[in-house]
Amino acid sequence: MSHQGFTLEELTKLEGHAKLSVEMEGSVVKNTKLEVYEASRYFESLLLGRDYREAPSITQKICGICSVVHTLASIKAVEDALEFIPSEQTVDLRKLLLYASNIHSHTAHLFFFALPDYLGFGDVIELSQKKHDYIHLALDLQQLSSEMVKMIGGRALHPVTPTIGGFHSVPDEKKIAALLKNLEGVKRLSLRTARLFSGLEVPELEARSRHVCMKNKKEYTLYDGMITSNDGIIFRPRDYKKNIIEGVMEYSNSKHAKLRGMSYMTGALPRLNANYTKLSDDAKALLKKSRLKLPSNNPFHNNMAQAIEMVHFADEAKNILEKYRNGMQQEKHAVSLREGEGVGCCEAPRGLLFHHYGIGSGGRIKYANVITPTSQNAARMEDDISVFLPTLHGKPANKVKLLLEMLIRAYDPCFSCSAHFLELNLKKK
Amino acid sequence: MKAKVAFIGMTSCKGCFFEFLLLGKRLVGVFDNLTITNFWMLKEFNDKRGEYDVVFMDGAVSTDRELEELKSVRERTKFLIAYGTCACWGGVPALRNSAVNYRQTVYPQEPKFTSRDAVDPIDRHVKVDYYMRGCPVNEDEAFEVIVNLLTGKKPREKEYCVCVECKKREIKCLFKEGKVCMGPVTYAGCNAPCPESRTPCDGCRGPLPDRNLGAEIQLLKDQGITEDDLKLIFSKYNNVAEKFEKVKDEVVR
Repeated sequence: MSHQGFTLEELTKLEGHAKLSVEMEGSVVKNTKLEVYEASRYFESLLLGRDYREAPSITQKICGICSVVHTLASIKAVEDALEFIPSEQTVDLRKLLLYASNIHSHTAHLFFFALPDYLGFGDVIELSQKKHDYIHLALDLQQLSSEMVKMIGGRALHPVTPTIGGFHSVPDEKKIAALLKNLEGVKRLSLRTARLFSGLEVPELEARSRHVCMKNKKEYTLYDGMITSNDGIIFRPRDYKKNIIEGVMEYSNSKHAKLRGMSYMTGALPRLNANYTKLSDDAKALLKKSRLKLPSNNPFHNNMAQAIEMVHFADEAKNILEKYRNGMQQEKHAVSLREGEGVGCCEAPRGLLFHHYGIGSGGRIKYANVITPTSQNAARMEDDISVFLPTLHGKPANKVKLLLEMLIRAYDPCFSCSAHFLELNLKKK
Repeated sequence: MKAKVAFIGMTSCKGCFFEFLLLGKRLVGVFDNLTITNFWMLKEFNDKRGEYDVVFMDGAVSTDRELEELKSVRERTKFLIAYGTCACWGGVPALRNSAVNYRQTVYPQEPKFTSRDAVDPIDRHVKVDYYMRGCPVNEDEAFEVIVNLLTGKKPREKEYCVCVECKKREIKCLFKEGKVCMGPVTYAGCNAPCPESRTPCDGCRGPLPDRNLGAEIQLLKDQGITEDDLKLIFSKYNNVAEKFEKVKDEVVR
């Protein structure tokens, strides 16, 4: 048997630093390793001995892109430990913040990282010089959605208003009106984005993977629900430890999670596969006209799923804002300290996120664990590459490199979160 | 010839890069007037060996690989900016300098990429020409610095506290309401977005040199804040900042 190998040194247009090594024998993939060499920050240990009230503002610094969802998952975990149940208005405002920040994050990923590949440009800087309409669409949408996050969260990144129990400040009537006006633009531009992405031709890959997301009966949820797989597994977020095992890979600073022994995908595509009947009318109409047929097992469809989600999230955001047309009321947060343990789970733009803390005497954190979407997707990315690579047999090396990078990018990975770069090492022995 | 500008990242959340993208349409002008030689998140080809006019260095130094890169970049750079609180002060990653058994806590067995024992701000190892503070930085300040450099001016740091900006905007004082606010002892430049949304300043831009720290500490103690809590509050972003050594002394006194 012929032993072959080639090395691809660098993967870019991603959040964080990682490297991919593939060993092949003939056309058979023997081994795939996704090495995340982004420096570890040992976040869980940073929390030990800190005050429970600091957990959200420290853990939001796990990630610059998904800081909103880290903040909220952290708050939920603390509230779970304190057995505190937030008010309806608080939950609505948290959902609104999640919708706005998901649109913001999806916009950045779709236009800055993913789109240049599909249009044959090296990167977004080249795209910006040649496709003025697309870059303006991207920048306008990014600005409008980040302004929404800022209006609610106080800052576009690392939000400051959400706190344990509720919000330091809530939008008054004037701000709700401003948010609604902003949202009109977000909806219009999200529709254009969704039409653009749902018309893109994506590489074929039948991955037959396990898909996992949060699900509830009421809505296309990002905030609460049961953890559900496409092959019938269902459990409460609190029971994550009984179901999800995180392993340390000697080659990577990111842990690799498996669900009952199997790699799995989490993110926009699993969410859409499981929840598409609950989409808004406009999002449903888009889905119907798109190239996307559900359920889809092609991870490249994750980008289309994100684009369709943006339209749905804009509609959901509108529903919440209209409910509070007269402004929200500043509430008192009657949180009382007790010792306990709690789990907070939310859907980040790129998939499931778990925060888990133990609070000891005096409110000091005595246990902390965080499972990020990328550490859950890492094992699945490796498995996908093993399935995808043999189908690329005979293609020129630069095309193979591009397609593998596109596959990894389709997951919208965030390697800062997971440990936290992508350099590609393809070894054919 | 256009100025060569590089964005290089070390240990951080990469949020300060993302914050730069919030420049919106101003980005088109930036891309047209500068040659961005490195921007990990955006660019396919990054020039790792070349010479740069300006470098935005993000993140703290936490691995040997990063330290080597930092020193090499400094030799090839005319104007080096410590970009963000991690680069300026160590930031949240530097909390691990006082964490106990951090490796064993997070990884049952150590992965291949071992970290340095301490997380350092970059000026522990190289000369810094400008400090852009904040967790995250403020994109308007980043734009201002770029415009300054393009027009041949040396950008100036704001050597006053957050309270100045807060008062200018007529935001109601949270300190007076008995909240633990770090505004009086923290570098300005953010335009006080936290107090604006009724959230006390948590000091993310770092300790201002000529602050009245003793008075701040006494006032906080009067509000019933314990010394243990004071240490937590002052260490959050500035655990290894040299100025913080003084803070620790004053807290203990």
